[in-house]
Order: sequence, then C-alpha cells, then structure tokens
Amino acid sequence: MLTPRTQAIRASLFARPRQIDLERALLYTESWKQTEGEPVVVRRAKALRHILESHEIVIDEYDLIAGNRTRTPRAGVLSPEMSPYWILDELDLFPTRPQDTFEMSEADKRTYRDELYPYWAGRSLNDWYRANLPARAAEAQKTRIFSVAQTDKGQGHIIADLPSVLSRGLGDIAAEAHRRAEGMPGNDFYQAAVICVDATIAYVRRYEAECRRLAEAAAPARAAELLRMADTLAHVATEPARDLADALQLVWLTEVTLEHESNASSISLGRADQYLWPYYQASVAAGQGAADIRELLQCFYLKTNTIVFVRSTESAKSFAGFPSGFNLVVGGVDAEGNDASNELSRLLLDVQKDTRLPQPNLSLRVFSGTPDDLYHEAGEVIRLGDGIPQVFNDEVNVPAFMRRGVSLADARDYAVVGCVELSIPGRMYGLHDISMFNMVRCLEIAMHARPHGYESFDALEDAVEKTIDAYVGLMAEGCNACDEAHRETSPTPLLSVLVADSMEKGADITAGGARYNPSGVQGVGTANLADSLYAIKRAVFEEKALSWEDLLAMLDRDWSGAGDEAWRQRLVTRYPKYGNDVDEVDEIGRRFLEHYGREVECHANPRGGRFQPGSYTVSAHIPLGEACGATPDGRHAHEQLADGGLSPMVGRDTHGPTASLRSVSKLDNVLDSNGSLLNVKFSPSTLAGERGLAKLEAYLRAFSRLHIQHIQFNVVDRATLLDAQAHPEDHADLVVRVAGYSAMFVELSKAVQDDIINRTEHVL
Amino acid sequence: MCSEADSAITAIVTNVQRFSLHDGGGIRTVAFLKGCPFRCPWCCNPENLSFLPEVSMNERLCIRCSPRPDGRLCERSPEECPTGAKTILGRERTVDDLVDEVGRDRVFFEESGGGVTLSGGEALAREAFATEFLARCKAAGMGTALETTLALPLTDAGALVEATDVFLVDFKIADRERSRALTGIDPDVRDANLRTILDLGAKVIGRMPIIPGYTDGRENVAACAARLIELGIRRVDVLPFHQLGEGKYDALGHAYACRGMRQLSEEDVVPIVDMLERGGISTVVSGE
Repeated sequence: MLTPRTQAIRASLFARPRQIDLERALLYTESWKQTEGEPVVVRRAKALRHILESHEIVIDEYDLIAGNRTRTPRAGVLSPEMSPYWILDELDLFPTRPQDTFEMSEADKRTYRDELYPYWAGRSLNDWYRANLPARAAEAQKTRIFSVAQTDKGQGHIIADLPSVLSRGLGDIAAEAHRRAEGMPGNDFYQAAVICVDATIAYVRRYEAECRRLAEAAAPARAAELLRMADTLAHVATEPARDLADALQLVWLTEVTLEHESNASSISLGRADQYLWPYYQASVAAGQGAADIRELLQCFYLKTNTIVFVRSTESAKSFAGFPSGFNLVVGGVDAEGNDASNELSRLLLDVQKDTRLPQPNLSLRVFSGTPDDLYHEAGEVIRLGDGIPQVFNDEVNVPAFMRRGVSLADARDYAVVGCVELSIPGRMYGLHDISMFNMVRCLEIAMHARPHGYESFDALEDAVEKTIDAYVGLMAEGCNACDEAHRETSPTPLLSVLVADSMEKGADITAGGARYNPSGVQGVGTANLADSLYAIKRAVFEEKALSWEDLLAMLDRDWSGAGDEAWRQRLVTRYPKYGNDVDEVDEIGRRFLEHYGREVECHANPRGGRFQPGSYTVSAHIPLGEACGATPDGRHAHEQLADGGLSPMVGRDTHGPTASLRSVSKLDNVLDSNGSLLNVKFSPSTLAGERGLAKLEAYLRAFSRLHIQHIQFNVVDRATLLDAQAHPEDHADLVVRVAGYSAMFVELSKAVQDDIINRTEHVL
Repeated sequence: MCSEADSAITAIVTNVQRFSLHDGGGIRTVAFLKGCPFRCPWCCNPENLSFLPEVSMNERLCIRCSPRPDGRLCERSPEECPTGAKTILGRERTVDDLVDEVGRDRVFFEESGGGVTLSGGEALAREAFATEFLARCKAAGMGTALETTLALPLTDAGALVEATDVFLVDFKIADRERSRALTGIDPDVRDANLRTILDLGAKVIGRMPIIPGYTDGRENVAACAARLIELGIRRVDVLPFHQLGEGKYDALGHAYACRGMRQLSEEDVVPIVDMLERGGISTVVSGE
C-alpha cells in the first residue's frame, strides 16, 4: 500500500496537464553560444555544467528523494540541438496531437520561433546527419523498409555503471578524471570528463543547500526530514553510499544528471536488486523498519515517472505512451551462474503492487534454477494486468551475448534497456534502437518486381532474401551516418565516464570508448511474412487455385473487387498461420528471421563494433503496417503487422498459448542478441486463484525451457471482449474461461458471450 | 458404425484442445473422440455424439459468399467455404498421429503436473484405441487422464488401468431406471466397472454435473453420494450447468433440450457441495 506521503506524490504526478519546458534548451543554447571554437566534447561538458548550475531545482512538500529534471513533473524537454525542425513543424500541435500531448505557452512558442529555431537551424545533429547520409541510403528510406532512429534526439538506450558510482563515490571518480586529465592534457575527453564530474558534485550540493534552506521555514517534522535529506546529499556528493537512502538518492541524481546531459530515452537502471543489495542490508542491519524501506522504494519508483520523453508525432506512433525506459531488472544468475536473487528482488517486484505505474519498467530474469517463490511473486504482479514485470530468459540471452564475443562474466550480468533491448550494464554502448527493418515491405517489393510471377516458390523466396540483403546494407549505411553524427555533434562525456572502458581508452562512448560497441537493428514482420509466403506457396504454387496476377490485383485493390472478400477469408482461415505450432509455416518464419540476422551480422559500425539483429516493435507494428499494402495472409492494406516482434499475427493464433510458444521456440532465438519481444494474452479468469497462478508459473518455467528470450502478458479486458463480439474474425484466438471450462470466445452464443463479458468486468 | 476389429487402431477425433486448464490437474491437452452411445439432454459437446464426421455451420462466421435467398441454407460444400463457417467435424486419426500431436506440449505438462486427457463423446466406445493411446502417452512420460461414463463393458480393464493415471467418472442420475430412460447410462454397469478398476488400483475422481431438473435434486445427490462412499471414492468435481454448448447445437442443427436454461453459479451449488462435504467427500467446484 502507498503511504499518505506516496499517495500525495503519486497524485501530484498527474495533477496538471503536461507542459513543454524550454529551460534546458535555453540554458544549453546560452552555453553553446559562448563556447564557439572549442572542441565539441568540451562544449557539451560546459553546456551540461551550465544546466546543472542554473536550472531551477524543486523539492516537493513530500519528497524523500531529491532530483528533478523539470520544474513540473512529466514536463516535455525539447532538444533543438538535436533537431530544431520537427519541433517547429509541430509547435502548435503539442496539445492536440493524437498521442503524447503537451501544453505549451504562447510565450514559449515565440521564444522557440524567434530565438531557438533560428540559432539551431543548420547547426543541429540532424543537419550533420543529413549532410553526411549517403544519397542512396536517403533514397532507400523512402521505401519505408527502414528508418533510422535517434537522428533528432539523444541516443540513450544504455545503463551507466551505477554499482561503481555507489561503491566509489563521485569524489573518487572525479579524482580519477583529474589525474588522467593532468596526465594527458591534450586529451579533450579527459578535460570534458573533469568538467562534467565536478559539475555533478556541485549539482548534488545545490540540492543539499536547497534542503537546508527549506528546513528553516518548515514545520518541525518536515524540517527534520529535510535536514536528514541534506545530510544524505552532503555525503553522497563525493562519498560512497552507506545505506539504501544514500544509494537511492545517488542513483536517482545520477539518472537525472544523465538526462540533463543527453535528453535521451532509456538511460536505464540495470540490475537494481544486485547493486542495491549491500546498501539494503546495511539499512536493515541499522534497524530501519520494513515500512520505512518500502516507502523509500515507493518514492524512488514514483520519481521514475516524473521524467517523460517528448517525441515527434511520427515517433510517438511507434513508441506510444512514454516508454521512458527506466528499465529495472531483478533475478537471473550471478557471475558464477548461480541464482542471484535475494530478498530485495522480491521486494522490488512487490512494490509495483503499490505504485501501479508504467515506470520503472520491471523485468524479471529467469533461468533453470530460478526459485519457485520468485516465479510466484512475479506471477502475482503479472496477474494485476499491468503487463509488469516482463520476463527475460538467461538460458538464451547469456549464450546470445557470448556468440557476440562478450565474456561469460559480462554476459551473465546482462540487463535490459528501453523496452526489451539486451545490454551489458556499464560496459556497452549498443545503439540498441537505431532502426527497425520491415521485412513485409521486402515481400511487397519482390512481388511487384515480377508482375507475372516467379517460376517457383523457391525463386520467390530467393527474391525476397535478395531484397532483404540489399536494404539491410543501406540501413547499415544510414545507421552509421547517425552513429557518426552523435560522435561529431553530441558526445556524452558524463555518461562515458560511467561506461567502461572510456576512461582507460580516453575516448567518449560515441567515439568507441565503450568495451562493447554493437548497433542493434530489429527485423519486423516475421509472422506476416511467414503467413503470406505459406499462403502463396499453397494457393498459387501447389494448388494452383489462384493465379499470381489475380493475387497481385486483389492486393493492389485491397480486396475490394467482387469475390475478393471470399478469397481474403480463405487465405486467412484455410492456410495454417505462424503461431499455431505448424512446422511448415513456422519454418518459413525461422528461415527469414535467421536470414535477416545473418545479413545484419555482416555489417560493421564506426566504433569498431558490428551490427546485431533483434526483433521487437514496441507499438511500431502500427506505423510499419501503415507502410504496407494488403498482403497475401489476408491482411488489409495499412492494417497493423503482428505485434511484439515474434508474436503471431493478432487473431491468427487459434491453438492457444502453448502452441504459440512452441512456434516461437523454433526461431533461432540466440541470434537475436539485441533483444526480441513476445506478447501473450490471457483472460483474467484464466489466471484467477492459486490454481491459475500455479499455471502461469508453470507456463513461465516452460518458456524458459523452450529458450525464448522474452515474454510479457496482456490480461484481456472488457473492451477487447466487446470488440471480439462485434468483430469475431479479428479475435479467433481469444480463449475465455468461464464456469470451469475454457472455450474459444467466438464460438459461443451471444447470450453466453454477454455473460462472460459481464463476469470479466466483475473479475477486473 | 464400424466395429473395433476392422478399424485397426484409428478413431474419429473432433478436436485437440491445448492449454486446457480443466479436466485433470495442471496444463492439459484434451483429445475429444467422436461418438457416444448415450444421450444426456444437457450434453455440452453435441459434436461428439455421432460416431461419424458431420457438417457444422456457424452462421456467425458466414459472409454470405453465395446467394441464399429466402433464408435458405448454404449449399456450398465445407471445402468451398472460405471462412470455416461450414466445416466438417471429425477426422480419422491414428494413435501415432495423435500421440505426436499431444506430445508437443510435454514441456508444459512436466512443469505444471499436467498431461493428456482423453474425452469424448464416450472414449471407451473405442476402448482399444483409448487404451493404446493412453498407454503410449504414459510411456512417453506424459500424465494421463480419462473422462468417461465407464458405463460400457470393458474388454481389458487391466490394460486400461495400467495406462491411466486418473479416471474422471461421471455420477449423474443415481436411479437406475431414470438414468436409463433419460441418458441411456446404466449406473450398475458403471459401478461394476468401478469395482474392477478400483481393485486394480485405479485412482478415480467422481464428476457430478449439476443440471437443474435432472441431477440437482436432493434425493439424487444423496444417492450419488452414498454410491461414491460405498465405492470408496472420496473426491468429486462438481460441475455447475453451463450453456457453452448452445452455439454448437445451432451449428449442427440439432435439437437442444436445455435451450435457454439458466446457467448455475458457484453460489447455486453451495447446498450440494455442503451435502457432499458433510458426507465425507472432498469437492472441487470447477468454476473458479
């Protein structure tokens, strides 16, 4: 349960509409104007220092942890230094756009138009990117097969070395920076490192001073709290953490500072149950009560919801609803391969029952030795219906990293950034979300290249593969231009200090300073591609029931001709689909996702790393589907693609959740070392009671044994059931559980459907 | 109907339902054999009454791909139906084929303590197939359950008991004459079989569908309970009446005696559960 304090904090997060806040942009620009001619990494450090010295710091009435990025919670921070263009285009749209709205004052709009835009036009990261993007890669993006991300925003998608910050303290890190800078005065990165770390220490002290100032006027109880916070801040400004209060305060201010530096999505939290464990133990040993510890963790969880990330309208379609990416991982193996979980792992899951918010994005790592009670705790939280925690599988993810040359100990320490991207905390700058690749578009291009068809199904498959190969190469060129744009215009020296081995190498992570340097690109559309090719194989090549020309014509007119709908339905229902444990069609999915991955691996990036494949969509299956016409799997033009990444197409997995796991297990999941995503849907009643929970746990253990990377659960709500009643064709996969029996929803009479709908609402 | 002898070892299977959470413990796959010699008016699996494949037409999925003036029935064959609205229920399967299919979820069975449940229709109407199938599943390491009336003569009770981890045996109408008249089931045949398999060491769970007007009377429940006690069966699943079969009767064009009858909730069966529990029988209401 939330306490009165944390209830008040939670309410304050949503008390007012989200604002656009120009403070950081103005401070950044002010500094930038004064540092013309200096090395870019030093300019970035000085800009950060200026922000940390000058932005308004706020300590709320109830805070136990200090650190705010913006004056009001959940405000949107614009980064014209990344790209001033989309912001100008959308200035008037922030309050009304379909997804992720913000309010913005007329005065701020004027400031943006008159001061910020004119300065940054021609100077931004986006300008560098466009000037250096090879023409053919620019041209290729017009096909909408891929589009390079992070060309108008910070890179993010990384985990700082938080354990070192806690155990060494900022003072020791600053001392190292000074020592190295003095030893190598010509190294710009070291100069920048000194500026950044010193500025961070001063920033922590600003909060200390603010706490002391507020304490003077506060009521006695609150004054005592503020003075305790001030003492904590005074200590962690330079020294290692002593207990949980120190550790959470230092982690949070580190995160806030890194957000000030790059204004990026997904500067994630890593394995908090591991690095917080000694401090938690110290707090318990010192006699701090369970209720106090729980409240402190609630405060920390709520803080992660104070930062949201403004995206362009286009980007918000793919990443709808502020996935700010404070991903927090518990469980998994330790460096020796034994169970790493502890009491704090369970507590960190349990606190979600109190806060019930999207951040932190909790992830549970499991392996063959994960204790039953940890599954049980996770199952209880999953059943709440928030889709939290998601579950990751060491049995495949550790080998996946080792295939990429990551050491065994580092691989066993993996965590998650953003949504589902796998990363090595504090050691990897992985450009994990640099592009998505639409394999379904490649099918369309290959089909339309031959109006009279291919001589065989094999020839069609070859043509799709060659199309994939050509565009993967062009995607890599585009990603590399973006990679270099960050190096040339937007290094992140503070983040680099906190990522091994940048200090040893004397190089910013954008210039290859990290120990591990992959670029991650997601292959999307496995399900639709497999379903489409299998339908073509059977209907066109084997049964010869449908001519190539007729198929193309139906696709081109989006099934609008006479008799087309019967054909569309036939293609949907008469040919097996990926996700039903049917080997013939699953094999096509396996073949193409593997082919994509093998092609991706052939390409190198400018940081000395290589490209690696992943497969997730977040919400991008909607816009990626918009880019595609009708497809031979019976999908309408512009309709969404399969969600998730590895999930079956919505409504097409009719054989239940065990069959879909089996289908996914046939893919080469070790190959997708950047991370993949599987959504599974349950009705609330399926998971009800101790027996339902036991089955969910068994399902998760089976998932681990099947060597699938990731899984997350949707617990189906009333709205879905109503939609299923109106559009049964879209919900053929929906299994409902009533009166002790499971049944396919669409096969029930309306009266019984109504009954289930009503009861489900009761359950929820 | 063909005889066991010349059908080798195949049976008509209507459905293999994976991730079935009922009909035995854990995550289960239920295989439904087509055909039942009995006729319970409330049957929720009417597609498994006839021993032969039959055509089902789900009007709710029909897109009227061919003209059907005056509300006439669709004249197209199931093979021509684009949506699967009209479909043939039941396909001849070999034991090998069916064991392979249910074996796909072995990982889930192992992790949940689940397994395979053979159901129907009346699976023991194909006793040789049922025994062989369950034996093969068990040999492959899967848990096995058989859902049955047990009211048919058994050819080889020993082999069946060997192959079956748990029998789920119906206790519907206790009075012999009334049972034979309404359902065709002879409880005396069942009880003789029960004594045989219990003597052979079978684990048996009783199943009591609670159907208003048919099985829910106090007298009937008491008589069933007495019989259970007498046989030494101390666990019963109580199954409140539901209408999940209604749509299937429509699709098959069969008459349905319980159309529109109210479904029962868990609360509705509380008095019956109390009665059974007082008699020393532990119950699970399959409704949670």
